[in-house]
Amino acid sequence: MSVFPKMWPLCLVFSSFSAIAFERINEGDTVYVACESLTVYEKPTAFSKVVRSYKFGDKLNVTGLKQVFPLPATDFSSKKFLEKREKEDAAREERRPQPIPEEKYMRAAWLQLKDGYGAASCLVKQDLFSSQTEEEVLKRVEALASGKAKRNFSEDESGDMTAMRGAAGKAKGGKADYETIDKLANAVKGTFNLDAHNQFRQQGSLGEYQ
Amino acid sequence: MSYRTVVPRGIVISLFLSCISVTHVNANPLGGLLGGDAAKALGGMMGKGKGDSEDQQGSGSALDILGGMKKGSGSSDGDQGRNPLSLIQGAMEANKNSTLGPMGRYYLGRKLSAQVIGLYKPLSIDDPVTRYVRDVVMTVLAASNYAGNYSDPLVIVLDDPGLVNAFAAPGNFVFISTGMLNFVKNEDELAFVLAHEIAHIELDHGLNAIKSKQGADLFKDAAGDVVAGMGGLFDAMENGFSADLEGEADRRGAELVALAGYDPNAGVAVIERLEKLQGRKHGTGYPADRRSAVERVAASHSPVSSDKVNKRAERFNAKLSQ
Repeated sequence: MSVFPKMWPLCLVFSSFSAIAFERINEGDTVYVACESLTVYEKPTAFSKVVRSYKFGDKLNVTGLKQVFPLPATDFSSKKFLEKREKEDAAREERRPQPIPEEKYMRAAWLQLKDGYGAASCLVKQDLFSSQTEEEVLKRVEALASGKAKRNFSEDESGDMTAMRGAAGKAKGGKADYETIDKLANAVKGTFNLDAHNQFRQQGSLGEYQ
Repeated sequence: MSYRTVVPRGIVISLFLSCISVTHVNANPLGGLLGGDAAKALGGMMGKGKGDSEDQQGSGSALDILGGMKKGSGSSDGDQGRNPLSLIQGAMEANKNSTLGPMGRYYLGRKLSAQVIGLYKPLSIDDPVTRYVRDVVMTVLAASNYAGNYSDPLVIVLDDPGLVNAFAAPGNFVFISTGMLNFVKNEDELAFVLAHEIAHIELDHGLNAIKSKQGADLFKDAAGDVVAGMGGLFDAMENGFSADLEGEADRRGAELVALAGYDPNAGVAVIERLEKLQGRKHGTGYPADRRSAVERVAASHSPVSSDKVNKRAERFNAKLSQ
């Protein structure tokens, strides 16, 4: 029996993977703050004046897109990747490959809101926002780490280090120490001093002071 | 304690090199394996994106046909890993699980970081060195496309002078060892090392690595014993393609430091020294020529005055001597 019919569903994996680090958002969309807080800046750069902040779950309207950039070639939604897929599809369907519309592989780093600009990496549409609960993300993260579709979350095991290996894949994680990492994360929360940091940039001729 | 006076020894896990080792799958080999009716069926299923949900392209139509697949699958539970239906379900589940959003990325990074912390002792968050590195990280992050993060970025200095390494995890968990702090010569070099890691986060390499790994695992399930000779393909997935991602991180890292006001040429210097330190030109899975990409970025930006670099070098030396 040919192996190919057994393997074709695998293409689903690669075709359905998508660039969710930067969800495709359009002007006029309603988005939700999916970070603990969202800083709104006067200009579309974190080197500009802070206008205000929003909290997790706040609903906002997008009035414009700024700093639109192409997804990197290695992303599953990049122009390169989509063109390759289109070429293969076209060959199978015996037609000419169609150009890939820019909006499919371009993303905005900053979204214009009513009172300034917010980082797109913290703003998501309703579908994705509905999955932003601790219970759901822990379930997904554990499934990813274990390499299995479904598994209950456990904080005791040493999981998969695929996303953070040392050079040549030699670095291995030890026993997960959630207590320490949470302690460090909590210790740093709210300690960022914007004025002091501005002084650091100014003294070093960095950012807006270069 | 002076971190500048400790000579690095022991393990030298290559730099940024560390970081996110990637297994990126090129769809071509898979596409090449698909043919005939199977490929046509797939083409029909995947089609083009429907409606506005391009990010979930293909998923909906694939799910639509699941009912039809169920009728004809006829596989026993004992062959679960290899029948088309379970593979499709696995693929759908994999896609869902890799759709994490800001909170999910943070928790993925937290999980990975908890394992790192299980191995190394961190300096205190209030340590002047940690605070200094954090300022550099925050400056580079502000220049990136990933200026917003689920929670405050966590910068951790690992107290291990024998380890020359830096790495990062999704959710903006950034690690650097005291060995690496000893190794870099000034703030601009430090910024490049950190920017390379931040580039991995911004470019989503970590999650792409997991997605590719999932694909490879499912592919293995599908192939089973029938395609025992496919090991080379998996080796390529595991090692060969990562050079693309490391090259991307070098290039983007250089762009980020330039945007932040640092001298990207510092990246060339640190890469050269790291290659010497490793005793070979480059590590497995890294581009053969790492310097050219960084040099091209440097050439495309206005030169940074040596006065500014020297001024930052002075504070680097002062901070690390504390």
